[in-house]
Amino acid sequence: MQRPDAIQPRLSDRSEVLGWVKLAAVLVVMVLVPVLLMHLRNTDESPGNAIRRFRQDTRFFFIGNSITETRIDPRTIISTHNGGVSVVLQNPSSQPALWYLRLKNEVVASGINPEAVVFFFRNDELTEEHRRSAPRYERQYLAYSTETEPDFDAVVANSRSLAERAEDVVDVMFPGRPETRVAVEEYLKLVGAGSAETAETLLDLSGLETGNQLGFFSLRKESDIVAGLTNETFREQLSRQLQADQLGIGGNPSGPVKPRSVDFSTEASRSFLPLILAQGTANDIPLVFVRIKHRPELDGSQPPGTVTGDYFTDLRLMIEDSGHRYADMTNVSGLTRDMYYDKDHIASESKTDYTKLILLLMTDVFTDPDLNR
Amino acid sequence: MAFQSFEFLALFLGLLVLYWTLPHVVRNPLLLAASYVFYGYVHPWLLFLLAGYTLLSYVSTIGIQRYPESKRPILWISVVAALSTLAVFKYFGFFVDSFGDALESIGLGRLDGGLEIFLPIGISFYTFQTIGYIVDVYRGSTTARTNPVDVALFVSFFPQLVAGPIERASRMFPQIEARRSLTPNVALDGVMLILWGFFKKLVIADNVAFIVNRIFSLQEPDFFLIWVGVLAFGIQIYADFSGYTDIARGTAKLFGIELSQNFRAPYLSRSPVDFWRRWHVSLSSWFRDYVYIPMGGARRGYYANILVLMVTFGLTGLWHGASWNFVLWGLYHGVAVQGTRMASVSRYASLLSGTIGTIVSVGITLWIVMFGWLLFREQDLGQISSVLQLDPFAASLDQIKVAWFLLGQVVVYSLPLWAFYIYEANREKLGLLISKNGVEAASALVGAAMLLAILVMNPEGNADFIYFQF
Repeated sequence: MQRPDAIQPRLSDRSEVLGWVKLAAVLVVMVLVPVLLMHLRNTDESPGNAIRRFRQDTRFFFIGNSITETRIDPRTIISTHNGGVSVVLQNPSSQPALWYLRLKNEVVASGINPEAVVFFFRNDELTEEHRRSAPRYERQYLAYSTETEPDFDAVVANSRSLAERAEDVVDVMFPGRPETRVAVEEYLKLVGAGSAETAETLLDLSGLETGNQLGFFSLRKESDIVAGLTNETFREQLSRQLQADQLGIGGNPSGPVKPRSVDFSTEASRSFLPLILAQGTANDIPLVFVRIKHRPELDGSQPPGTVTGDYFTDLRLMIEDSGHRYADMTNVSGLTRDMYYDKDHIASESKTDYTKLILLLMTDVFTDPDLNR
Repeated sequence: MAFQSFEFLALFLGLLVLYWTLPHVVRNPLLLAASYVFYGYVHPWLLFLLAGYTLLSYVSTIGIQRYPESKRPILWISVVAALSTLAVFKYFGFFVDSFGDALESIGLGRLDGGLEIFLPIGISFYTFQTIGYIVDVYRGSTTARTNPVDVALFVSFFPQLVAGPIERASRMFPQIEARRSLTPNVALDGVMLILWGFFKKLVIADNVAFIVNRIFSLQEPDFFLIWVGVLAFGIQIYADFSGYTDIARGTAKLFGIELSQNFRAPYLSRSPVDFWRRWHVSLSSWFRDYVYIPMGGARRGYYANILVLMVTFGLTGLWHGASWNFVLWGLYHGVAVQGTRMASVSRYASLLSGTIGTIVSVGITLWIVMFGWLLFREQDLGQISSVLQLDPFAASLDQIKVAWFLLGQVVVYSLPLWAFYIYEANREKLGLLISKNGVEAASALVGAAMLLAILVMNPEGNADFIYFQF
């Protein structure tokens, strides 16, 4: 039976068939060449190469991302606790997938029995697990993994949506993309440095003495200098913006955040939180989860979070039912607007004060045995 | 749904297989359904708007054809209806704000509480395409189509729905109504266009955008930095918009439909007049055919012609956005075009002939166009005025170095665009030098290089295409 399709009669033509075969070959080459190049470039790293060793007298661990890093000053805790060691294990932009690995493979594996392991979190960060567990972050996870991580793999596999799984296929086919991008950007910086050098040389030639010492053969050094100058230019801009924002004269370009309703039990069951809680319970390590206070609005109120209030009630129940501690700092009046660097991070000059405040607010967690003795 | 999303990739690939598997009679309904899914994916209520435009063009064109004695009122009613809808969604807030500012400036108090109306993506594009069809039927240059699926597909064909090209009925309907086919060569062309479009968007535009956004968010940029920002924006907007057009053209090709070429190496234009024959061609030709010529064009007197030209360019600017800076940008180009006309009849015009003359005229035009991008990018007229007052001699050596550092990176990102211009200019000669197999091998390697660059250099969290907002 002949189908009323324009392609069908053409397929009978041998040259047409050959044309489609050639097209298929072209498409295969287009995909295969990048796959091969990326796999050749991507050298496997041994698992666990970033795992640290700690002093046996370590009393407190803080695991998290920049939210934690900007909040906790270990030296303040040391001085307050007569020398008791505290360690901040932070990876910028990391999420509970990595926190779980660091808890299991660094804290638990060290055999230390700390007085507490503290996690600071914002919004539904503890259970929103699908974001940074994609294969493109594999190298980061590998650095804190043991040879096999079946529980970790199971959660990752369970938490990916269809679109994310499609992205994962691309990640697996073309590994090491973030690292390659960084390398390419280094070359771009060199080109930029070259043009900055040219400008300086031209100014010298035009009779304006610039004091140019470097010359074209020290591009890498020039690149670092001029990249530093560039960052400085924009840092000044950023701080001005923040200042304007502090004074309430900078608007939020993306508009107000509208909290979304979350099915807590579904989201939590697919996240790394149950694994983190189980690690704490099984190893008799008290875990403390601290919900941070966002930078207060001008009227002192808290900006709306990304999830509705019910979420936090359920989260508290889950954590406390597991025998661990939940702390909510959203109503702490001592945390004022001027202590913040942006809407979630604490300014460096307020880090010590924030740490002291945390110690004060959670005296039952951070009790000093030496003082109590 | 954005082109650079996995949802689109899934829709596109699934649709493509289904489309060429199914018989011809169901292909248009299938494309129509896919177009509605594409447009209504995030905000389904937008489909009512699209259906409304379809109904308007269907009913009015049939009315014009069936009742020739009433065709003029039908035309006016339908054009006013289409433009009013556009005005409500896109310009209402702008007119209210401008009216309030005017009241305040003459001391009559001010209007508080501006009205913010959601701007449906691509509304300017499909409004103009619909109006073009209705006017063409009125003029008799095309006939009213009676198949509602064909008309709906003409209004909503997904590759060009949200950012053009603005197609003409006389070009699209014959393709929509034809029994379409696909050959390997056309398919390869389509794939290469899509890859080149994504390369321009994700590798060039989105990375240069990072530099542009940083510079334009500075409160007190120095002279050199702001002009590097303007130049970078010129690269960004071209790569972004022409990238979208190429993806749209490539996608349409794979469904057997040829969309018009919207860009013809615009940064090699020899004059502002030439620039508008090469930049966003479907829009500039639309304004020429449906605004400039009906208003009298060059048929009226010298000064009337200048007025018509300025009105046309002012409206072209306003089409881009409800803001005075876009109007200013349009008028600036109107002045540049009129200046070109005056220069072309002067005794010095012959100086710009020959190779050196061409290079000089391309350079001057590029400078004029790039200067115009300042008016396009910076929405605050006060800020534009401050930029124009910046003193180059006030910049420090460090500021000059930072500007050149960023310029060097922008130039590197723009190199593929210039390389493509050279390739386009020599395409025929290359075709004679390379065998057909050689073309396929070269396509495979160039395609692989583009795919690799897209995968590596595509920044996380891509921005939408700039022209989506228009």
